[in-house]
Amino acid sequence: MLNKLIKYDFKSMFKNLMPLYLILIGFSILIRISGIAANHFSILKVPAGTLTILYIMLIFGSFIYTFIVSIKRFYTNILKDEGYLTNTLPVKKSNIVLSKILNSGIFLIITVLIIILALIISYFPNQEVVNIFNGLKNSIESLGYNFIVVLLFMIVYMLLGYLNYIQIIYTSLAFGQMHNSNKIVYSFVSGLIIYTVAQIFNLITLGLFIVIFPDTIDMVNTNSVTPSFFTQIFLYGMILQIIYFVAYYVITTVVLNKKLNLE
Amino acid sequence: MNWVFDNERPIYLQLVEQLKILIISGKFKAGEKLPSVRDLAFETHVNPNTMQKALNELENSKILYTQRTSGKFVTTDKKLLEKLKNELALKYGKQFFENMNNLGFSYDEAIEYLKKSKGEI
Amino acid sequence: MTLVECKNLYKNYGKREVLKNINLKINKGKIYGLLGPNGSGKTTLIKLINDLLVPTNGTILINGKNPGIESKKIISYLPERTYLNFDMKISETIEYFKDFYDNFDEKKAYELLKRLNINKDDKLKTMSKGTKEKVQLVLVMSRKADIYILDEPIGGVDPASRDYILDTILKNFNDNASIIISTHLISDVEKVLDDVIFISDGKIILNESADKLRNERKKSIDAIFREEFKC
Repeated sequence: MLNKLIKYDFKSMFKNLMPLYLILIGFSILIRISGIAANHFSILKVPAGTLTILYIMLIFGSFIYTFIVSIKRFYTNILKDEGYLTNTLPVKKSNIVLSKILNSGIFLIITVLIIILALIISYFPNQEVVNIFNGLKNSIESLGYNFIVVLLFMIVYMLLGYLNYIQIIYTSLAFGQMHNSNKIVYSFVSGLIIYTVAQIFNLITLGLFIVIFPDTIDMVNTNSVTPSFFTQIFLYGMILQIIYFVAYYVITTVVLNKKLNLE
Repeated sequence: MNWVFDNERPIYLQLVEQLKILIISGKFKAGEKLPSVRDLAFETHVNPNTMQKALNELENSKILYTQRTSGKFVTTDKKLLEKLKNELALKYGKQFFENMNNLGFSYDEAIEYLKKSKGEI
Repeated sequence: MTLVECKNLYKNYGKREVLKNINLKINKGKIYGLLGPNGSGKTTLIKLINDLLVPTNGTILINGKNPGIESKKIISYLPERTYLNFDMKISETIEYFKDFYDNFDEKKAYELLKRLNINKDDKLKTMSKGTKEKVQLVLVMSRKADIYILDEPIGGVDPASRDYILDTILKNFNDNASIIISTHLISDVEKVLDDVIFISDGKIILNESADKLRNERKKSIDAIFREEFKC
């Protein structure tokens, strides 16, 4: 059943995001053309520059839009009129929520890939980018780490971080809908509370981390960082994100199971 | 069969009346097998439970009988059917005179109108 | 066989008591009318049966079990609102129902749509409210469920289609299922009801055979309703 839920959430979100992807690709072609044109006719350099600024705004906007689509799907499918169908399907609520989370992740990845594709279309080949990339690769490897492993780790870490931000909104919406009126206000307040609690939890765990690994402070103070320092920090960060992921997921599911209040 | 029902009276009784008319008028002949409850209910746009109740009533009055595996049949008792026919005819007549009396006509006047209206047909 | 049983059922929204000590049995093979004014607790009761709400006190049993995934498999619910994704085409909504419900009869759904002159390739968002409601009814009635709960099934529909919808409801009737119809249009629907349940202010004030009521009070169910719920 989870697969079916994923399929339909995917279809719906794709319909919303497809126009964005087309615009991104289209704009990337435009940038490429304007770049070539500006090289031939210097009076076109200013318009080309303007286009570049728009391009950057578009790319940033794409992340925001992807985030919004992920939130919107959760909200309309579970908490609005569609909820009368979704919540009476013979499926587990936990799977309904999980499907939304997974699709949020999938579409973040797709958006990123489309942006990378767009950038390649607009600017490839670009020696500066290659230089930066190689520089990064070298410094990581000089610390004794495998570049691919670090890259994968960072991708997973950032993905989890993004999904946890999304989940904070999901959980807030779940708390908000419990009330009969002013649902948005309650959602907002819940969000603030959850965020604050998370920050406090961050501080507590940081304190614990320092207590368990006192050498970390020394390393930072004496500026003599060893490879294990990074490993500890990254593992600490990853474990924290995993804890949040599970916590938000469980709380959202429990609230939707026991305190659903559709209008 | 689009019968019109009066919501103020039990539906099943109205079904009984309509079915009696169908039987007397020959749409369902003596000894003939009736359609299934579901089919009858569907044709007349009523709840099959209500139709079943009506059929049970008719069975209690011996107008219908059930043959266990084959369904419900109209009785072959011609005398009973005659009796039914007469009952219904008298009922119509009674109703006619009641209505005419309400309007203020005497019985004789009512009969005159009856003859006149026959001519109109 | 009792399909739905409510025992000492209470539901509060905060401090407000919306359902008070509801005791009710829904048996198979019958068509029930759940009748009551707005705010009577009608919708709350329906939501409780559908596991869209959790009781404050007491129990609801569907086929002897608490509401959950198993009960959702056998309950086909038509709410008052449009609960479909408007971006979908009709054919996509049929695929959706087919995917999630084992007891969905695709062939029947297409037949019903054809008879109602609804094109399966149309998108929901291009349709009128009445047509959307018909589509939902088709989807709900195309499931071979044990319990059909129809909230205002003929509400937004033109009078010509109402008869067809009532016929469709009757056709779905079988000895193993029960149908619960909740409506304001009592006079349109009352002739098909076996039993009527009047609910007022969170309590069931009447639960009786329709014909028996008509016999006793010499009135239509609609008239009896108006009497009971006079302002």
